[in-house]
Amino acid sequence: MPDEKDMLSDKELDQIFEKVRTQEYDTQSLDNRAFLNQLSAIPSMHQQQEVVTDGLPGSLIEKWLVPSFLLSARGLVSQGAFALVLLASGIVTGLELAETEPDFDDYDISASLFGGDASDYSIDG
Amino acid sequence: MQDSRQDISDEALVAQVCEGNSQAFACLVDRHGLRFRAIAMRTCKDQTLAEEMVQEAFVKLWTKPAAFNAGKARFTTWFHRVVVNRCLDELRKKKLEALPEGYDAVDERPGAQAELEAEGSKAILLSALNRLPERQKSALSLSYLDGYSNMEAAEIMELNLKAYESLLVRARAKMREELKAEKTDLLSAYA
Repeated sequence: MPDEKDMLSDKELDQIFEKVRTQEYDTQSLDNRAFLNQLSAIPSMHQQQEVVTDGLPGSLIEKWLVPSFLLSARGLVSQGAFALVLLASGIVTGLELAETEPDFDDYDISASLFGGDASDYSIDG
Repeated sequence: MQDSRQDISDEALVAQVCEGNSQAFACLVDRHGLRFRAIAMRTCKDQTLAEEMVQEAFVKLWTKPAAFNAGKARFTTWFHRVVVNRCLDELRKKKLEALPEGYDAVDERPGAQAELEAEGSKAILLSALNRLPERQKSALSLSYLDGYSNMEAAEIMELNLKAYESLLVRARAKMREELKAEKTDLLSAYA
């Protein structure tokens, strides 16, 4: 176990780190200022690229299909809400259809299967 | 102009950059330019290359700001990875074998000797830092040199806060041990 008194104290170590950091981050230093100015000039030298999206549905699908979003709290709530809307629209549609009872006499379900003249199938030819 | 942006979060500034706002971009540069240069310097160990890498990262931030997804991470966490990955890619590509150009040139500017001594003390510190295990080194750099909060640093290292803090305690102890022999030099340079 090293002798504590030979080592830097916690406070001394903090001071040393602090001073190194202050030197590196000194915005008044000419070198540092020149570097920051160089970075700040980027917008005047480079054109921004257009954000390409395939319209609203495309970008929404792109956002939703990310697994991290699907498994996040917001993603799960969105999926739950979507399922509820789907269920509700199914119930409403079902109730509306139930009110109009179909007339089964109108249907001849074999009509399309047996098109043509009945005489074609006559045993007498 | 930029003063009114002091309270705006980094993420909100990036959203403004997406709309082509160069003042918001300048504000991000002022807040983080030097921090990311220091990070790149520690990764590349070459000032010219480090500045190039940070410049490239900021060019990308300006030209393709939509690459940042605010829902996934904080700006600083994301940009830290962008800069460090860019530096590592470049180092892999260049496989730096030779010392940087001008390394041996004598600096005759006034005050250069004092700068050199300060640089020497800093080199001692960084060399001790480099002798630490990789994760301890990263933790110390993030918290004490790069100025991240423990929470941000834990996110960058993909650790929970408690695990990060315990790593930091071990790293500090190891660092103090590593600097034992240089205690006097460091105290005379920095204390």
